[in-house]
Amino acid sequence: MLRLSLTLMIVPRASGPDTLPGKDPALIRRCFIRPRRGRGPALVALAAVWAAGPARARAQETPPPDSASPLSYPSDDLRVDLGGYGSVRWEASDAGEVPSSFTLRRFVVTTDARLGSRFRVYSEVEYERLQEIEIERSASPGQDGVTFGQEIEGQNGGAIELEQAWGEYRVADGLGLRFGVVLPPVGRFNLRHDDNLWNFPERPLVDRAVNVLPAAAAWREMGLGAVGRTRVGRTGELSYEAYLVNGVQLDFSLDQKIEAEPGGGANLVTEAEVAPRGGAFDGSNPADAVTARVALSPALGSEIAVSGYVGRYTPGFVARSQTLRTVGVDGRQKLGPAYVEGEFLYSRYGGLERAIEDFAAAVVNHSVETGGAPGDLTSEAEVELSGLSRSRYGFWLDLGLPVALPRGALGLDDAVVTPIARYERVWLHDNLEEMDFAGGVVTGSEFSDRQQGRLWLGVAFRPVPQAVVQLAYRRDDAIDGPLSAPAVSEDAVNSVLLGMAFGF
Amino acid sequence: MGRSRVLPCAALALALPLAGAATGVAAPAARAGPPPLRRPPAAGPGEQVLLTRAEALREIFGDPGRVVEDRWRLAPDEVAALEARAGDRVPDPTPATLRVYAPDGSLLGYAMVLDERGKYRPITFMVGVGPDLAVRGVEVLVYREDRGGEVRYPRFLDQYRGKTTSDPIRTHRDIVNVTGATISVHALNDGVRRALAIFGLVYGGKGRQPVSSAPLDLASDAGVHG
Repeated sequence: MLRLSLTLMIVPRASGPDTLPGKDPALIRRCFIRPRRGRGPALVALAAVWAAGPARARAQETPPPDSASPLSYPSDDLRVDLGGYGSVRWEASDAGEVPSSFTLRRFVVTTDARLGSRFRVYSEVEYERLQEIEIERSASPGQDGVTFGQEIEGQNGGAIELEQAWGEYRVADGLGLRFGVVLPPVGRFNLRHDDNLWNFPERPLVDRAVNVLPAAAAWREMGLGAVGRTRVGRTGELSYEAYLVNGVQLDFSLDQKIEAEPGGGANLVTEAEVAPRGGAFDGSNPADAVTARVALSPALGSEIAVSGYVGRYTPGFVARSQTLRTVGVDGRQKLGPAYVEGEFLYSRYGGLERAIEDFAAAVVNHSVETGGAPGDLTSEAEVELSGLSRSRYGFWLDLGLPVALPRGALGLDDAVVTPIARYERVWLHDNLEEMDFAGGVVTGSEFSDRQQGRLWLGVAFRPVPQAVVQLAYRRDDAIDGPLSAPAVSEDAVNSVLLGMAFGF
Repeated sequence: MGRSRVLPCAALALALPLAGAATGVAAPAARAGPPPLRRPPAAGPGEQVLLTRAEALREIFGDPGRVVEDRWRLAPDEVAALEARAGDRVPDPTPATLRVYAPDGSLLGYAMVLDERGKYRPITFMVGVGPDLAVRGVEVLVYREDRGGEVRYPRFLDQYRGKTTSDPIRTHRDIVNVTGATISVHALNDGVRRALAIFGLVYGGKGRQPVSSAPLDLASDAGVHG
């Protein structure tokens, strides 16, 4: 485990030797190292601490000192904490189309900076399934002129993503204003999506693979809002978050593939997949969505929350705006030594048919082909709408029984083994399966209902609180229509997953 | 353990000048004249001193009449025994404890202030026990982490009441975890266990004398550690 904490604080010279409380100086040395203005380069100061032995080091330590000192503490402090989390997984199933394989799910680096006494900046940068991204460019002069070349290397599914980047101004104790890339507080998973917080090796269906959540977790939006919490009696707590955000919109991604033609030659197919995605960060879509969550925890170990989201999902280039509404209920309850935790989400895409018509009118043609002689490279462009249903809803429900192993077992002090079970179900009502349009008019569309159930049974082992090894059996059943995740032709898929997640 | 300390500090040594240059805050060139007199901060940016030591004593014991601070010096074998009992290391062989008396002179109990590292930073808190050495109350004095501050509230801290050295004081055993504050909860568990072990050693036996004792004036004691 790597833990790195950087503390940069400007503390003017005290008149005499530092007074120490005598409370775990090694701890203070590890956690607080403060270069002092006017004492030479910071590196020298650090080197002195570590080279001069305990007595000298002790003199450099800055303990948590007296609170009621008449002397104020500096306002130009800077403190940066580095952290992160990540997960890896091995998965095997009886679905012929899914290979048994190891996956780097993600590796996320976080920074948490305190700028002064009331301002904080937090960020998360995620490397998801990323092996490499390599770009080569060249300009080669030749007899016929200059040849410009560009080559991009990478592997499928890899991504670098900015998951969070916000500043928070603490207005008062328990109330802050946030501005930046935030997590919309819908349901409980999106807010707590760090892999090491969960005992299961895969994210819930409704939050990720068949997202009922407006965009797959970790869903983030540019926005501005407030976060806060307040005590309710001696044992209760009320917490809330509310934001104005850019909001989910139908957005496109371009996929290119080359198909070999039977008669020779090849066809370059460019697919524009249009699906709901989190709002752009570049200011290109209006901030017209609101989202909020209110959670009540009557006592430690129990919480119930309601959350919601309302926003226009149609892009600006279509004629009429349509609204996506999502509501969620989630909670957690301790039941003796066990716990139960769950989330229900419901999303409704208002005016979906009108949105499709307007989209068709804007895009004009579903596909365009440019021909050529046999053997030539031909090209084809297609537009596809996906991830849309008139309504979709689903839930997940976890049950766990954490058992703390005896201290010292396996050489560990705080190891916990948790038998786990989860049931998930998701319904897609009037899911848009296919749509044809030409000349700006919808010529055909196909809607169908889908329903999928998923059962998990497994065990999670936490050698330390921040890390977990998960072994689980997963069964997917197509109850109505085909399976959505994994997208295979079988009606039922049995899988075994081994995962590891960690945070630091 | 050594490795875990060396790595961050080596990285820190490398990063500090760079970060300082980037932020412009660590440019410690020689300056003319002494800087203004200021003591080190009570808490870092955004960190709050929730209670002073005197306030925490009042929260736990009501209105103590007299408080005496005892300083102890533990022998290496005692430290080892304590560590075995508490299940965690005892970093300070010279702990300070407080004897708390009621206005009528009767013993209310004992208390001590501890610093336990949370995810990144120390949590400063007080553990108070009654004469029977069972926990009477735990109060957080300074919480420095950005997350997990829920552990400072009574709804969490009340769980420690009545705990003794015979209790496991562990998450998933007799302490309910706080979602999102797991490391802080573990830190407090460790600290309470250690405090109980120290109280048992210094006050549980008969006739052990502190290295030094001094009365504490609560009216003027406005600090966290004293």
